[in-house]
Amino acid sequence: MGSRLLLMMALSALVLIPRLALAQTPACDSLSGEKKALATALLNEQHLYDCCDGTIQECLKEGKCSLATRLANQVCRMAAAGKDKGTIERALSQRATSMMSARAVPIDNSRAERAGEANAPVTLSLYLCARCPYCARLVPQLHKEITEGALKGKVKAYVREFPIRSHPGSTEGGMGMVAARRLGKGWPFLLHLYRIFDRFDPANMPKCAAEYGMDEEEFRNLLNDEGVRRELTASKKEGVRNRVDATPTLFINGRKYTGDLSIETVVDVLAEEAERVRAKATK
Amino acid sequence: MSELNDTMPEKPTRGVLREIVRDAVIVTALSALVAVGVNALREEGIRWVQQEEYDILVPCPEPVGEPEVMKGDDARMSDGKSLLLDVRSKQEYDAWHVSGARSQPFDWLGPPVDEEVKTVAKQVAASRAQRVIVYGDGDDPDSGKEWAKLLSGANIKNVFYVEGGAPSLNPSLPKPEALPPLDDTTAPPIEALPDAQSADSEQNEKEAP
Repeated sequence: MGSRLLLMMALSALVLIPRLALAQTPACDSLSGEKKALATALLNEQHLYDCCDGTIQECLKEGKCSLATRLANQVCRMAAAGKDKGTIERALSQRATSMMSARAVPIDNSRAERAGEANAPVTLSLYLCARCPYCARLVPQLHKEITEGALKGKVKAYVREFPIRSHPGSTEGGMGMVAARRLGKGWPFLLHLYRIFDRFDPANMPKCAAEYGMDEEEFRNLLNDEGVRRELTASKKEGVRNRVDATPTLFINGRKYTGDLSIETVVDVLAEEAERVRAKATK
Repeated sequence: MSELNDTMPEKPTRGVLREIVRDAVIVTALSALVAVGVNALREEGIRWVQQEEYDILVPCPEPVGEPEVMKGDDARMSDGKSLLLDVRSKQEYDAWHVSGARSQPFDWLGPPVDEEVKTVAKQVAASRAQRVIVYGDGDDPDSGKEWAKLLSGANIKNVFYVEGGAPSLNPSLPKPEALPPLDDTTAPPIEALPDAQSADSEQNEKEAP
């Protein structure tokens, strides 16, 4: 009887301890079962890369660093999405490298069109291909966050064209992006290209440009303009020089971001950078 | 013989077969019921109907591989077993190129890499070369290195690029820094640049130093 009671108590402890130990953040509260156990283990093992020396769990208890909550949320989001331990650890490590030790590289945004407020503390440079399905998913969401969502006033974004050679129509799409940018409608046109991603036809681009208030003939001429082609080439070469080998590639204040590319994490990382820049400015 | 017949198993009758099938159906149905029951009791059981869109989107990589790097004075440049590709512009090739090198101007924007790789693959097969050595403008980024990466990414083996590109093979060539930047839209188009030499490339061939 006694041993059975002990066994029951041990089992209860096994079930309850992880529940009690798990961080209280919105993303973590919704977890259960194996995913909760995985998140708990990671929160107890992984350390913050800034602000606090302890593990994520310890720093959460201290309650002084918003970064602890951000990282806890990322761990729990990724656990909820079914990612394994190695993947989550790698994502945290890449986030740390991107935010703290990556070297800032020169990016020429002087001709790029800005999305977001001019005095935003974070400059986001996006190397994008007009025919990249992942870009088509991520960029419209990100643009919305920057212009009217959680990143409004915190981030300004610029597009650098980077046509991927294996994507049919990527050069034509890239020429369209540069042409629209020259006519002052770079962002609306890019978002349009992503909206009609599955129906993309280079021949239809001038008509689409006209719908966005651009002169159809002028746009058509720019599509065949040698200067536009050179500008597109320069953007591509700049990307290669900056070790861009896929799209989308994000540079946050000039530093290459190599972490998780889900919209939630990207928004979170940008908010973190804005917080850090503002904290430095007030010191 | 009769003993042998006694030890042989009897042929199952139709009734026995029916019983086997019935038992198999029962075992399968019970297993399925148990599985469904366990799945229903699990906190993270598999859903009957997928509620979210199945997402397999991943960032789009450039189709590149990892070529090997080679110094300009490497003996393999002139051992006759290499296919040498000069990927600078035709004008630059005509002005000077390594003896035996073929012109394969590199365009950063295309055409689709498959078409170009087919051309090179044919050249490799026809030349019976053991390796492909690419040299470009030596700029940052270097067109030769980029071409070599694309060839490697297309599964062409033994691809090398010359570190420093053409200027490392012929020091008299202008350094990349001296060339007009490509993003300078005021620069004349490449067709308008003075053509230093005639198209007769054989007369202009010079040995690599």
